[in-house]
Amino acid sequence: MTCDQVRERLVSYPMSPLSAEERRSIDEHTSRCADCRADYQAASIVGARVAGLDRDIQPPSDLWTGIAPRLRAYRGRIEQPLWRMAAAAVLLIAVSSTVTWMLMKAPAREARATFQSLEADYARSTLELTTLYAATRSTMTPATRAVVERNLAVIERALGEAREALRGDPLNSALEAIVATAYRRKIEFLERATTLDRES
Amino acid sequence: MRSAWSWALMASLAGASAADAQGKINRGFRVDPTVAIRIHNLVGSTTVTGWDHDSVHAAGTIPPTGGSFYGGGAGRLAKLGIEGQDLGAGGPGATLNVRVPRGARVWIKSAAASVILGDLSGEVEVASVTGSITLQGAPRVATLETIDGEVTIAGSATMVRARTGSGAVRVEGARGNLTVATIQGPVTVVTNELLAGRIETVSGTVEVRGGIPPNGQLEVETHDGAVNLFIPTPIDARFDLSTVKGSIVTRMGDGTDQPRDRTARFSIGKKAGVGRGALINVRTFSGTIRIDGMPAGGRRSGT
Amino acid sequence: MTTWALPFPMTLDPNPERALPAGVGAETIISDARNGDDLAFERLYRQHVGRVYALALRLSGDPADADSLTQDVFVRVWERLTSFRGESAFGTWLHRLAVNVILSDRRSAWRRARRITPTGDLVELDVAAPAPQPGTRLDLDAAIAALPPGARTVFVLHDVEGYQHAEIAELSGIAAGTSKAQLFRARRLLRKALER
Repeated sequence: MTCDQVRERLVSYPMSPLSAEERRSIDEHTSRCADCRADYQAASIVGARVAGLDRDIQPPSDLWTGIAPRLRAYRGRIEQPLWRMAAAAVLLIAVSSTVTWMLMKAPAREARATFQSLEADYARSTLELTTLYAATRSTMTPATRAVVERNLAVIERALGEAREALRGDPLNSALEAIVATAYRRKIEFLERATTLDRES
Repeated sequence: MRSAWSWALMASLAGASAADAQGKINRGFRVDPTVAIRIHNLVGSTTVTGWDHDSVHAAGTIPPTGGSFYGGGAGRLAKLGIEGQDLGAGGPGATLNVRVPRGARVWIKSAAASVILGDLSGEVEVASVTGSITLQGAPRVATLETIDGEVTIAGSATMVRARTGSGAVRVEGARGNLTVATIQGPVTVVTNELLAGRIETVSGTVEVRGGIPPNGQLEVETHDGAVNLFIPTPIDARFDLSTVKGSIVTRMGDGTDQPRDRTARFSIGKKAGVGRGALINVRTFSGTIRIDGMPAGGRRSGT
Repeated sequence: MTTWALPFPMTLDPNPERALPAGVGAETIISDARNGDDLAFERLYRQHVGRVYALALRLSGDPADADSLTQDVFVRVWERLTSFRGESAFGTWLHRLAVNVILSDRRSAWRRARRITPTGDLVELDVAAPAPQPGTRLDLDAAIAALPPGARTVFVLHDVEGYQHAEIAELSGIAAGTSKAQLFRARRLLRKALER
């Protein structure tokens, strides 16, 4: 067996146990090859411990109490006028996870429609975050305000370029991921800017 | 409900002298070696240095333009700083030099004050706006955040997170775990022991010089910032490079520029060929990606 | 907690809703939940939360994150329920959605990485995975939590949860070859940690 073949076999070991012949070949190879021997031993030792892991672990506290109100909020989100950081965060996950989800084999047309509707949701949500930021910036010193807005402009430009590229190639999943990253940076920066005051 | 901390502070502040209101600072108090201490100075400079005493000592000066010193604590909690500073007033601000036990957990708040940290082995966190941050020594964990200030890291912290907006980030001797994020600030990293590195920027340039060990990994992501990696050769590494609108050029081994497609995946070195070796992953939107091999013995000729 | 008189002996179960009463098919519960029935969705939640929490705990390496990630997953499930068409088992569909949500959240890991919790004036630095003391033997979950994020993701998804490298590559945006390399790295690091 070559190193490549040994490694290929070790990928699914020990979940898929070795046949007698495979074991003979691997033993022979690893007697000569220290790297493969290390991988073989690691797979055996770790694999034995993995078998004993619980794949079902109850959370220490009841998480349902934190979920139920958000289900209702999702239904009422369209009419919700107040910005809430939780909503923006959930939406961020919605954007990113939908982007990743669309890397899976979803029908292309549906994928585009879903992404566009989430873009609209995103625009609504960052409008709320931007409104909060507008309220906060009046309390910043002029120097701080200038610094924050200079950086925000850079983020906006990058976001605009990414979205423009996606508009021209709407089914490109790599571009969707780049747009999601740009949205994420904007939200993170706005969050930071609106909490600067709180930190002082 | 009063926290335990509040009682400790009140007890140690009893008897604070009026001289603390302005002028010279000179205050010390005993604490545990793993004290959690919060230091607050918005304008001027703050220097925090570790020492081998189970106590905190603060020295420094406050200018007449304003602010007063407060400080106290005992056991595992302490707090000190300058309050009542007028951020719009201009002027040099307060100078604060603090000694803390080496293993302390230190949290520093600044706006424009520069922050310098040294000889600490515990955990540090700094939040600033325009002030620069300089870290020396080997804290176990360092989290450094500013918007416009520069961040300079020298020494060998085990886990470092640095974040700026337009400030430059410079890391020398990076090892262990490193995460750097900027908006447009340039990033320069010099390393030879980086186990896990992630560098993210929108428009800043990224330059990494040095080796990634076979069990290490480096991820770089930019929008239009240019990425330059100078990797010493020989090396065992797998490269996964991609850009949407930019270009990728590599120069490894034979000393000539090799332009690549917009997605380039390749391995260098025998170990990397069978899937071992360092993992180097670079993604940009339009930033150029350049990988330069540096033969052992110094800079690539012509640099 | 109210205790109910049971008509037949049962082993003590802190979440009795997890076991479906006889006669209520899983499909009914799912379609009820899809039509907006909170109670049916709560049933689904109780059935699947253990699997999701274990996944969140191991992928994030952090109990505090695992709580909020688990909640995020179920909110996402509620929002996406109409797109589940029964082409796979519900548990499989949910699990994959959970992986998506958790891995996407990784990209805003910066805020969690700070984890300063000011409570009034008291500030304690709270940082994950302190360096283990030499000489103590780690258990496997602690060792997994201390892995670098890329290696941890691949190890948990492949060796613990049974995903193939092609799926892992798709879910986390890396090349399949990179996924295999990360797996071997993870196993070596874990072995070293376990035998320390």
